[in-house]
Amino acid sequence: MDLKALSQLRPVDGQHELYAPGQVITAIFRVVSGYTPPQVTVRSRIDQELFTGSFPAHGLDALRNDKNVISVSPSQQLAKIS
Amino acid sequence: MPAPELSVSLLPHLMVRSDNVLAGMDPRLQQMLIRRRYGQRTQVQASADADEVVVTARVSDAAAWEAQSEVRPGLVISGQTPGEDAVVTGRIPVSRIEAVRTLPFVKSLKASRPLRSELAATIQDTQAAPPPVGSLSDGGKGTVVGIVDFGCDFAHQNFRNADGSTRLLGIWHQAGKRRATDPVKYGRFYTTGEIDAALKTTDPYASLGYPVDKDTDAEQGTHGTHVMDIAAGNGIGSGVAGMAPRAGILFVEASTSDLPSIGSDALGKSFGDSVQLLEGLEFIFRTAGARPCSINVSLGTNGGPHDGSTLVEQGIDRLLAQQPNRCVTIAASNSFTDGIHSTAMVPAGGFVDLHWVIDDGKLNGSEMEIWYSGVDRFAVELVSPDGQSLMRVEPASTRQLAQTAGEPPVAVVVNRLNDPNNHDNTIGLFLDSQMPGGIWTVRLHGLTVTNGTFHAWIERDDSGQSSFQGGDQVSSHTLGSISCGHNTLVVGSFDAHKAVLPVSWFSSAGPTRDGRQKPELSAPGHDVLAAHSRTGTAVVSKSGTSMAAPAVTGGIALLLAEAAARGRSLSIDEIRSLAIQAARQNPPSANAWDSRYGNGRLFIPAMLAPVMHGPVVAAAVPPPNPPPPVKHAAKTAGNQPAVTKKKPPALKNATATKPALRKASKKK
Repeated sequence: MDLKALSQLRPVDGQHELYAPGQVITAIFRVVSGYTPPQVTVRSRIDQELFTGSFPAHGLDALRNDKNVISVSPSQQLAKIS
Repeated sequence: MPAPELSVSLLPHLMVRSDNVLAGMDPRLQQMLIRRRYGQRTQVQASADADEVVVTARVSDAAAWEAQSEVRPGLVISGQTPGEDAVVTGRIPVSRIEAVRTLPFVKSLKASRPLRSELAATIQDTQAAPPPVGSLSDGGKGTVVGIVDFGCDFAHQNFRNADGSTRLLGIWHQAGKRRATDPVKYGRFYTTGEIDAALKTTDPYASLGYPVDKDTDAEQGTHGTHVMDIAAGNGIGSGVAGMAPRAGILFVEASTSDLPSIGSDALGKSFGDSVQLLEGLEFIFRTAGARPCSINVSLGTNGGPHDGSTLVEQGIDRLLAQQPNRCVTIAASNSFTDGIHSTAMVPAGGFVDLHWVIDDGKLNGSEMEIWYSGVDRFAVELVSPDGQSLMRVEPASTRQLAQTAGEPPVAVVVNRLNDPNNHDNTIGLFLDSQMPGGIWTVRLHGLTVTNGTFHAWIERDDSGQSSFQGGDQVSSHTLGSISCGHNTLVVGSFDAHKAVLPVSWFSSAGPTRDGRQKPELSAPGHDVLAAHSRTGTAVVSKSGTSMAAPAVTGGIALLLAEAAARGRSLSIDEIRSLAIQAARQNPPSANAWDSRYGNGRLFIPAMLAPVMHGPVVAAAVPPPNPPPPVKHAAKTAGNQPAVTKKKPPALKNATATKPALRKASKKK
């Protein structure tokens, strides 16, 4: 793309979804102590408030609106420091 | 009766009864011969077999040298011209040193300097060996050293016992194919028994089903093998032991796919991820059980809030607080000269421009992450290299641009308020690789300003790093994305081969965005010679904070072994306090935390001493005391240290001294 083409860019209506509907997302969860969201499969529990788990992408909105879920951090790439 | 240890000081007495050949010989060769006479074996050099010595010779007849049956010829360093001697290298049995030295065409014979001097610099500067008198650390015996990395050469002799069996307690290959019997929920776990069985075959890698790369265009030897050797190699293969040579080793191969972990084909694909890292750490600690455990992580990227609030950092902090005798050491990062950080203040009603240099033809998209106080409100405007304002994004909103309706966006800007982990605000910008290169402008408008300070990081991209324009670059706060936790030890690098012990030109600088003093320590990480994968015994040189961190990891294993031998437990606060208070200075300057050396250089004797001689008291870690950000004056050519220029302190709140505003303009 050249600079002239930038003027042709168009706003995307709504929000382009980062995840395909059937995609399984792995993430780190921080929750109210002892709580496990129903759509989440726990992979590794650090303690009663923090664990890793997976959930289907279509469950993202439910997690956003779940008052017992404090924070969800989808997996992020890490590279060797070299 | 065991043969007596010999020291160089005994040589004159012994030579009294030696013949003239011995007396006139290279002192290092003399010592080898004398050791042999007393039944002691010569330490194996990296490129020689047992009881062989690598030599450099001056000979009058190079052809005769090569023809000599005792000699395994090496190189002809300087050619032979008529009437002049040739300088050659080769390997000869120690038992034949005298015979070869007396050959008529051999004018001079010297033992080569062993390659171990490089890794020895790590051991020497930290004084990890020999252990302090009275120490019970015993090379870290009884502890577990965990390594989360890429490429574990389990067949290298440095990770095997004298009988050839493995020292590894297991390898979890997170991208491997799981079996029902594996004690992990995904990936493949190779047990000690399976590794030992594989080692008895002609191709242990194929036999185990765990490929380990040797050399590619991108890298010589695997990163993980090198890191593991510094922390816990025993030197049986290379001749030089790492920091904790008697520790058990548990390796987590962090690859998230079956793609090769190194090499040009893997460029941009050789990644672990934050979820699997946390799971790997939990697995290592769980497997170690009650055994003291010190884990090394030499992974990271550039982005993140840099205040320890990410969930992966919180998770690591929690693992470390759950049980005593645990430690996680993380490399600071190598981004000091990459121009990936900037900071300034946005004035109320005005704006600040950030200039983002993106090359044409990048393989990957470019990402920038900006963090600012939760009490402020900024709008962000994206301006193209030719001055077009493509979009302005107000707080709590997201905008995306695409070439065609229904296609994925090529530009995304997210202006998000109240991050749930730290309640600060963050702005994320992503430009697809299709976007034209040039100097892009990210304009931050101050809508509501109480604090005004922001920090911006450009995400790491090994296929073509974008950066801030020179004047915007601030090289403080360049720690890695997971290097800002509260309980971890973060390590910078210096060059232990030079008298002044200079900080490595690449070694990232603290502090954290919330003003805590990280890195805590520094260690030798420059030109470190350690195990070279797929060679069995050889070593290879690598530089990076990745090579400094495992020196601390192994050092902590020694500390934990010392405590365990005395029936004592150490909390993570005590471990951190002992390591920090024992750090050597000059460099860095005495009584001052340095943004790159940290509190000083890893020093094993002083770290062990309180455990050996008295009760351990967890002194408070020095309080936050943000140092001045270091402005990168200019990118320097080659590998020269960057010139730095101090600025006033960067501050979290508006009540303290404000750093100089950069390109701040009032709206007209």
